[in-house]
Amino acid sequence: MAEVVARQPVAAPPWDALPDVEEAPGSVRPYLRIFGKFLISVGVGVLLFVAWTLWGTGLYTAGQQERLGQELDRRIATAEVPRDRGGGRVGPPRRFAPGPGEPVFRMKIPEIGLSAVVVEGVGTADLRKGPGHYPSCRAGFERPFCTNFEEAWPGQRGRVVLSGHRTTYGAEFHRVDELDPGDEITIESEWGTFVYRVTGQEIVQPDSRKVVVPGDAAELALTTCNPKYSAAERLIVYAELDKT
Amino acid sequence: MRRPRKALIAELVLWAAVAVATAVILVALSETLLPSNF
Repeated sequence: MAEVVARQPVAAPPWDALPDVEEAPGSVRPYLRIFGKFLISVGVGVLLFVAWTLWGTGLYTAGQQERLGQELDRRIATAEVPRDRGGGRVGPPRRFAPGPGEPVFRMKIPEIGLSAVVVEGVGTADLRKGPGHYPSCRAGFERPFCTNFEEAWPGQRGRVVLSGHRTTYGAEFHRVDELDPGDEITIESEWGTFVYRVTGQEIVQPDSRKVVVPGDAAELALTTCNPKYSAAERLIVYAELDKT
Repeated sequence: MRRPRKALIAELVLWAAVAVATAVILVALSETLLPSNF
């Protein structure tokens, strides 16, 4: 009868017991080791950059949106602006000229779960706070981030142009490509609440300024980068004021 | 010959600094190169 011998587990030699490998003089191994560690470090740096870009920047925007939302709510609650300024004209007070980065109204798009405070201006610093309203070229705004014609406000005749991030800084416009004709866009402002209906989409070259025109109808244009995670094109979503 | 613990930590800190520097450079470049509404 064969005797069964239990195998004893073989313990790995302690790390300290491993012999040091002597490197031959003139060996490239030390340099390769340093280069390899350098590449790993750079790779970790790239991952840190991606994490910051996709999520870290959103923390700043979330903080700004919270602050701006409180300020806007306070202004809407205390607004004494007539909804109709006579002759069917609706809009902000005549001297309404917010500075760069100030909250101007709130935009809600239930279809894509968006609720954001829109700020005045479409410069880099402005859009970090939230979607930006294209201003006219007045004090505080410089070309090409402003227009040489009078800006339109929600409820008014003319094109209200809004620009927003699609990938970074909260990426409020991340899903605007999912909007279909008829979808609702609600604007809440000091001078009233307005409902727009999406009419269509268009993709243009990134340097195109065709969206920034005065416009004849009471319309809204949302612009952002396209496709997602790229700036190769620009996506424009059009909407018209729902008068019903 | 084993390297002292302090030397290992110093090297780790060095490579961490390289990683952070890489991230900072990329962030700075992206601020310049990417459009404002990216």
